[in-house]
Amino acid sequence: MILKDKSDYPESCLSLLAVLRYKCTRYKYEYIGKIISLLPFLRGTCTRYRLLFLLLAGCLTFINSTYAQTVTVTGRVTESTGNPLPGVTIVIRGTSPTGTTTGEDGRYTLTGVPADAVLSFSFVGFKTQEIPVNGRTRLNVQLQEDITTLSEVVVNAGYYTVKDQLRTGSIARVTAKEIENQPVSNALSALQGRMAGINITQGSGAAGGGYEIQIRGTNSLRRVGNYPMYIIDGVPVSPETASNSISASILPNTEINPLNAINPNDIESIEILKDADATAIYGSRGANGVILVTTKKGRTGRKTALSVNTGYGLSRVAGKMEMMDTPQYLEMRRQAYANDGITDYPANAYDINGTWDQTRYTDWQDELIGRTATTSNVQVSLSGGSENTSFLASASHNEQTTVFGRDFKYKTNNLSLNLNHRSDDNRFTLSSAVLFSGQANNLIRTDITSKALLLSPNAPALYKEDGSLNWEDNTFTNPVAAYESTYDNKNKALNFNINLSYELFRSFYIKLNSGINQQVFEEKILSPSTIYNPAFGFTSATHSSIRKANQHQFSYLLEPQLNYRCTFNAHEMDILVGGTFQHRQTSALGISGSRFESNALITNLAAAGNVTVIYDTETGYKYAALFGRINYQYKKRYILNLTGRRDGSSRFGTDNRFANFGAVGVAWLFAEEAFFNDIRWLSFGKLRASYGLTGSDAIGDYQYLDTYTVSSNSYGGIKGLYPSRLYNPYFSWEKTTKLEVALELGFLDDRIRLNTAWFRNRSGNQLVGIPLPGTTGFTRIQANLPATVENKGLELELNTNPVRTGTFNWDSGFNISFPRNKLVSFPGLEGSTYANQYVIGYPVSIAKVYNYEGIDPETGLYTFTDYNNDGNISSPDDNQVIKRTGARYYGGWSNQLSYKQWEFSFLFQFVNQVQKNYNSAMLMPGTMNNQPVEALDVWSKDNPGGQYMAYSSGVDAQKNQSFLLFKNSTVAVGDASFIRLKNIQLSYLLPVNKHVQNIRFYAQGQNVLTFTDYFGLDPEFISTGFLPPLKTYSFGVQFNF
Amino acid sequence: MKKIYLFFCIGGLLLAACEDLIDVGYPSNQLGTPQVFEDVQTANAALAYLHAMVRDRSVMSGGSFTGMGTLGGMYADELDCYYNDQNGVLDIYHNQLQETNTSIASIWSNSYQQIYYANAVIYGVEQSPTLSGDDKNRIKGEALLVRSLIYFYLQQLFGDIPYTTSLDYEYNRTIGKTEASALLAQLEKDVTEAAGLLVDDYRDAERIYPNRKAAQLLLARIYLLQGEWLLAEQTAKNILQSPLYQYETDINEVFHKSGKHILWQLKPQNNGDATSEATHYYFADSAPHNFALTQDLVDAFAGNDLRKQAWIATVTVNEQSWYRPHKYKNRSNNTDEYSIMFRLEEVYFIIAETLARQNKMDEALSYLNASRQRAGLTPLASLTEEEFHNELLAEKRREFFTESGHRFLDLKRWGRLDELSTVKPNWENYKQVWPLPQSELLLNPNLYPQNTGY
Repeated sequence: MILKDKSDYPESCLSLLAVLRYKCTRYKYEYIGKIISLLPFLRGTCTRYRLLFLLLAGCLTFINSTYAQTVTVTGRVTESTGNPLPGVTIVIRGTSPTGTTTGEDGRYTLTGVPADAVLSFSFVGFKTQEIPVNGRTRLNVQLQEDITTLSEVVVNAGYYTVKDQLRTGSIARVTAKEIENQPVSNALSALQGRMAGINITQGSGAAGGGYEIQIRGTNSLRRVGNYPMYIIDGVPVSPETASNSISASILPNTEINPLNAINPNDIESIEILKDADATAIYGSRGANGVILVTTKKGRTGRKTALSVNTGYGLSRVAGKMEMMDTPQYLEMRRQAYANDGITDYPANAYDINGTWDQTRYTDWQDELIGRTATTSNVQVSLSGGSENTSFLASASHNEQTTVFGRDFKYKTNNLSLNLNHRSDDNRFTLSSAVLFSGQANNLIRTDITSKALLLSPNAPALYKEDGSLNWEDNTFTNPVAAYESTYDNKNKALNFNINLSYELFRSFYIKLNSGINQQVFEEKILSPSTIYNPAFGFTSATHSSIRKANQHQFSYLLEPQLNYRCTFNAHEMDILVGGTFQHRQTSALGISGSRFESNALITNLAAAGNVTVIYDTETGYKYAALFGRINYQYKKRYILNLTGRRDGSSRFGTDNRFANFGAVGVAWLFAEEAFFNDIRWLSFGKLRASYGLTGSDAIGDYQYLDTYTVSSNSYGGIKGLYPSRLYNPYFSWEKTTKLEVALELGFLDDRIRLNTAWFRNRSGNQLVGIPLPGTTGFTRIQANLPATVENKGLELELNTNPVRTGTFNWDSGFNISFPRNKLVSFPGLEGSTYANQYVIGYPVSIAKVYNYEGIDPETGLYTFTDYNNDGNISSPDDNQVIKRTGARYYGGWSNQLSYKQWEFSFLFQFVNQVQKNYNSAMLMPGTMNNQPVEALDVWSKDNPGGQYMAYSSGVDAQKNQSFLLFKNSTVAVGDASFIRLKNIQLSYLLPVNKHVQNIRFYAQGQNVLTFTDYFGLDPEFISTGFLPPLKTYSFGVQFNF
Repeated sequence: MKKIYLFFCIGGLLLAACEDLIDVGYPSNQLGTPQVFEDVQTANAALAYLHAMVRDRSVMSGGSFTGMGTLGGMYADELDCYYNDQNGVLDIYHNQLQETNTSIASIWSNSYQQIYYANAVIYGVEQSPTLSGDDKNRIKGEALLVRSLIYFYLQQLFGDIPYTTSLDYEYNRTIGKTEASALLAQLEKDVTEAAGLLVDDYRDAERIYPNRKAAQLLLARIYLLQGEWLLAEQTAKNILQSPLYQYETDINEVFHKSGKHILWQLKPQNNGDATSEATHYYFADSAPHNFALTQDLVDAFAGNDLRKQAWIATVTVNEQSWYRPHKYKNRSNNTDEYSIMFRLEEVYFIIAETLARQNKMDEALSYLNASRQRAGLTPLASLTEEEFHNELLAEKRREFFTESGHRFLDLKRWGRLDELSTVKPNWENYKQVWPLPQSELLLNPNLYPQNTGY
């Protein structure tokens, strides 16, 4: 065997060689043999190489020993901004990998340097510089940042890591740089618009709730079936935290996102796995993509550093609707009664029957959701490390108030510790992350945003002069009475991970990834009788209640793995086999109390005259799997990646518990081929493709059982038992096949990178609750629907570096995604319960609506196309127009500019979409509800172009019906495209002195500008009734010691 | 390569252990269906849930937005509605029903859910190898009675409706409608069976579970609908003859739970809880938010009618008066009121009606006068047939306002719903049945055609 280049040596042998050479400059040859004999592992596994080493080492020593003149070189390495660069590797070229690294201040000392040697200075992310010593003893070096090394970036793929350049799968990555210091409490908010193929919407402008994340579209016909998988430092966490039956309606879908538990500033990177190649190793949980969160770690060889970061922000609602003022509103009301032929205004038409002051005007949006919310946060982190061990400890506190007119507050506390250790012989490594978070959210129970739009503009004042609630002699259902009805939650989450690895034999590793995730979630809803109009005569004895729920979730994870890597000539193989066992136990207790002597006592269940246990459950979820990966590379140019997983889940009946998933991925780095050598402008070129099968078991626990459930309802003192569900033990996994082809190109030394991916995902065997008619006793049954949903699309990512001088740098990134969702097949759709909801060949997010034709000049009613000509506009024959709702394309444009100590960045997010607009949510114009000014455009003989039919007070059934059709017609669906300046940031780094290394000042804006033609409160939040996103300005300071 | 074999060996071992690894058993709040009916306690619990649903969410329940007490009252001429919640409650009041009305849809689906629960209980006890014969009869009888009562109301509201005793969703999801007369014949059979299974003795002294007599009262109602006057008369008289019952003579005691005139009443969930009726209709110091009695109804009472004082409360604000039902009074610390489902007064009215239909006016008169006399009114004497019919309807309206939709059922049975048009401007004859919910028609096309007029 002939050694052609040093990559043919096993890594361990290389380091040995370094030791040998160093020694040989000082000692005689006979020592070499002894040293080798002292290293026992070489005897067994490296026997073949021993002789070669001796020969080679001998030669090298011989060559080296001819040089007698050596010097000691010292100096300082800085980056282009002048800041010292610690950790730069300095070696003597052409001789050996030995050398030194720069210290914290960028200084180094290298002894024994031959006077005519060439020193090589290298550091990740910078261009390597080689400088001849020429007898000098002092060498100061400035390193230039190097973008070509971006391809050296290592990407976390979950069970393994892969060099970005060599990956076969589709993995989107965002690092700390993009996430840090943003005025958001959940990192997902900072990801919006940054990644192709990933569409993120926050559920509500009130902090502490859920997010809707679609990674490459909607795969499942169920909303919860589209949750991605979340893995925090190797530990999977439940995607729907503690969604509980008592949760308040202030949080849309009563969801709480698991990433709320992590301070965005603690995150090192977020990787999102998209295609089959990346997700199939997660098998049944990978269908909707996997979100991997990695927290920051300390670095070895650094002196202990302290960083203090504090910020403060102000937020307001980003969008408002222009509503009618009092004269316009009252005119509408009077007209409505006139149109209905009613001259005596009803007793409860307080706004116009003289009860309320008709000259008052209140902008209820300002009054109810118009407060300025504040955000403040402080974080202290300490990091450092020795040669083998490093740590990072961080503590932070964050407080956020709401725009509602009272001191509601969301508070989080985070503590984290990261620890990494490596044994002296590099064979054993340990890394551990402990994340603790305490969240406390105090909110109003029900969102009052819709009240802000609907309240009559002449409605009375909220408070009397003495500060008490104003019920205006029981005529005014005061919306802020609801402030007394609060929702509190406290969530304590602990995520603990230990990752062990031991190199058993050469390049053969045994690993264990293990973790614990524990959550203690407490909720409390107060509902005192004072929230009701006194006219109802409710008292604390009849209508005050408290509901409390506790949920305890404990999950542990064990993932033993074996990993073997081998290299033969230009062939490289990486094999991974592992198993997963996860057990999650959840116990939940919900209790309600009522009949209190006084409202002052309602926070205490013990004071309740009547206490009911709403539920008391203990449930378990077990999951076991076997997974593997074989990665084969030839010449680092042709790559084959095979992944597979066999999964078992307790969520299915005994016959359907196991399923197999897998994928194959290939990549060809074609720019490395000889025939591309002459094409200088092409610096990188890769073609990759993957195909595979993933699945979903997100169906909830125990759905296959034939049981009765204990109810909180009782009769005659006997607690009820009711049939849990329609019995069907035969449902099984939802399966998604994914296909992707991608082209990755780098031009002009990678200053321009263009990634283009085309994908097609098909989800079959849809695991849904099939809607049933009421006569079955249930609204749905759990079953697999033989329907196929296809998501395909094109994703483009363009990253450029237009300007890069020493002092001024500009990076620009643009991404755009064109998702296409289609219901491909649905055997028996006609006549099935879905006939009115879906159409084959169309997206699953369609609205079948009536075709609006205008206003009939005879009747004054809205008219619609009568497709079946039966003289009656009704479903399902007349709502024939299919409107595709959802995004047509979306993306973002981000820019980072830096000039000396200044950094400036901004991000535009854009979405082109069609959604239901405010017409679909409107209440009949003319009823006692305020309307947007658009509703002033009323049709009449004099205004034949009017948009809305004549007002009605709600007693005209013909108009009611006509309006109902209008709300479900083509005019209720409209363009909801927008461009939003999502984030803008300016920061300045001030170098201070040797005690304080530097201070960074930063100012940020979030959701600063929005351009849209959408008819509604906000184009981003299409679920009406919830607080729209907030516009935030923040500033902060970061001290680094 | 040896190492690769090692991988597969370890893998294989792990795989073999998988089956047991992921077994989780039952959650703590669920019980396997067969086990529920092995034991009388748990079987009673399944039945208790059905009774709780009858109380809280059924078409018969009194103080709810989807019960006939309120909806029937305002669809006819008892209640004015001030409640506008977008669920179509106001449209029901205005007799402007659309097939998209969500309140109607929830009545439909709630009713069939309760029918499923009843069917599940019936099937469960029938299959049970361990329950005693007495327990089986009692549980099945009660479930059968509840199911029949729900069907009875559904038939009255919707006309032809699906009738099922099956738990099979494949059958139930495509089921067609049963024609009204066939359905009534089936109900007659079912209720007769229930009466046979039940016994006269109440299993709870507070009469919170139906007994055989309650079943007989429903049977009498069904006979009335079928025009079986004699059978209805005999069945009703059979109830009267029972020593369990006694006509309540004190107007103030009628809605107290201890009365001997009560055949079946519903106990609130917790001791001390108000009846749903007491809170549902309450308002004070303001114009009504939800419901108030119509002026037409209030005017139907003579000035000296004791019921006007005892069962109606007047709310005056700014010299304007409204009236609210005040039959149930305790809104807190309720110790003496339960929601009455069946009371003996109805038996009197049934007998009066059957006798009148058979032209036995003299005998009929005494049954009609019972409630008048209790209300402090002078007994009526010698009426013509037409006068008697009018008086019977008017008197029953005064007696049973806001109770279980009696008014609507009576007008319908007498074919006199069109008389509503004097006070209900939108009334039209086809409105005697409600539209089938559109959502149901879409999910089960076998329910077509929609009822006439909708």
